[in-house]
Amino acid sequence: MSRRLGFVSSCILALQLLAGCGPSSDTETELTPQEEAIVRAQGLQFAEALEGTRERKLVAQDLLRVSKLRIEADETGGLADRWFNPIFGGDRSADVMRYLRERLRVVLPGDGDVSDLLRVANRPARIHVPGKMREPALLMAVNAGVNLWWTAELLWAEKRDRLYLDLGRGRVLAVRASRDGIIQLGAGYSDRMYRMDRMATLIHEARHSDCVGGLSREDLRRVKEDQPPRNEQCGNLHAPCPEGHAFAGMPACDAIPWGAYAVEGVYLNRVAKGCLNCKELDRQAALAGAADRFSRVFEASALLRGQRGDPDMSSRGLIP
Amino acid sequence: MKKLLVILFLVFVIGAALWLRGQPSGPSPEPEAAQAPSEAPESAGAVTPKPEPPAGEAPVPAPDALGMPQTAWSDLPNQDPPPVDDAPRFTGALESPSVESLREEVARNPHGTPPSLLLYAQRMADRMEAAMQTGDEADRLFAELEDCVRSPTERVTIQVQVVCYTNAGRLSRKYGGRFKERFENLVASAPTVASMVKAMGLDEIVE
Repeated sequence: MSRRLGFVSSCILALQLLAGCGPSSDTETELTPQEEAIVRAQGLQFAEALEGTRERKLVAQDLLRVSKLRIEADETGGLADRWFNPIFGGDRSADVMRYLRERLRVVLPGDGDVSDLLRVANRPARIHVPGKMREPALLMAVNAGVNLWWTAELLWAEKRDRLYLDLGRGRVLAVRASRDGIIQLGAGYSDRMYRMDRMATLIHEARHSDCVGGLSREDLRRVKEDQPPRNEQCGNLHAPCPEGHAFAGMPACDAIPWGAYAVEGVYLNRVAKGCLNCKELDRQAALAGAADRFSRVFEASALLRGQRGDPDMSSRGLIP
Repeated sequence: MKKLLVILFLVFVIGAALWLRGQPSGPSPEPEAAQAPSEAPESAGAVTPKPEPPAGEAPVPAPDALGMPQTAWSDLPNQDPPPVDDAPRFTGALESPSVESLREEVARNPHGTPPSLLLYAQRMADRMEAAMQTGDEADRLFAELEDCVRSPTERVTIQVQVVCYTNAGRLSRKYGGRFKERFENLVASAPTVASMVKAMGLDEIVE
């Protein structure tokens, strides 16, 4: 009797110990109530493949962090700082969250082909997406929404078919605008990256959701042939950095004023300058980031002095 | 028999405690404590080894046909240093990331801040925290920052110089007359950097 009881108790202990030994703890992947709330408030949807992943947790944490930074404008102002309000529509983190909410709505995993999620007339469809990333597994993040919208417009123009994105669990979204805000995460969106840099990446990718000035029919034809639209503000495209630049020849500069690097720079600049609840490390990382982003903007000083016009934060569709 | 029941009970209690530890925490009142900036137990002073690109694999993503955004990743220092209060702080001389290393990192990751620049920022944070507390540390750091700002851009990129200049300005404002004249000379000797920092409004940071 006693031996049997001993055996049973040992089994219970073993089972209980095993129950606590998963491949990763839930706290690393499961969203806290606050993170759940911020994802809901932002209206953000994750593809099914991201459920229960570390990437989803990081996005939620990063959004929460953006929302909590105390970055109110200080009295000293400054040239770069004066653009914060026109870009984000206000001076508080809540305004940054609204900027993100309008431009970042769907998050896809980077370790798959976006084409696999596309549907036409409720059927999977192999469709050529112009300018689609070639190395998705390497990416940290990419705004896939603009390319998908161009694809949707081409499909409608040629076949009168609508393009849909299947997020899994019965969620199928019609692709209708660049502001559908579809971003794709890659392996680089990880704990290995500084949090401040991940946060700024969300700001950066969100800006790519704006098609300033709209897409003309001619640009639609160019896009079909895998050429960039003439209106480089549609998606705020990047360009090779100019001669003499430290990154000359690399597609790591803004093609136009107030592109994704400039907007990101203005955000990081505010954090570096006036974040009231940041540690020294956060501020130095933001300062390095701001200096880096503004170095990728053509004639940044002139831009910040207002000599290249005001930022246009609007977004239009296909020009009839 | 009684003894066995006691053992069984103890085993059950221990097991239950272990099992509960493995469960996700409920709606705790402050689940974000670890993330809240003012409460984060981050150790800004942790020394992170300089990231080395993995040998033989530095895949450079091809520029996208439409110049669309793409952010490849590369070797980055850990985001959050281990939360240990007595983690060693960086006290050595700051070494500016080379133009070559920055180019290589940007080739792999066109969007994010190059890792070597972030590492530089991390070390700068350690040095600045110390310099803001003692004049001797400030003297030592200010001399390094002067050297950084005055270096030719072929050796030290404008991004790094902006970081150096901004921090030199902060020290100058913190210590008043101690660095006033030297900082004024620095402004005069690096007009491009000074102009950039002024445009960014970083010359007006108030401590």
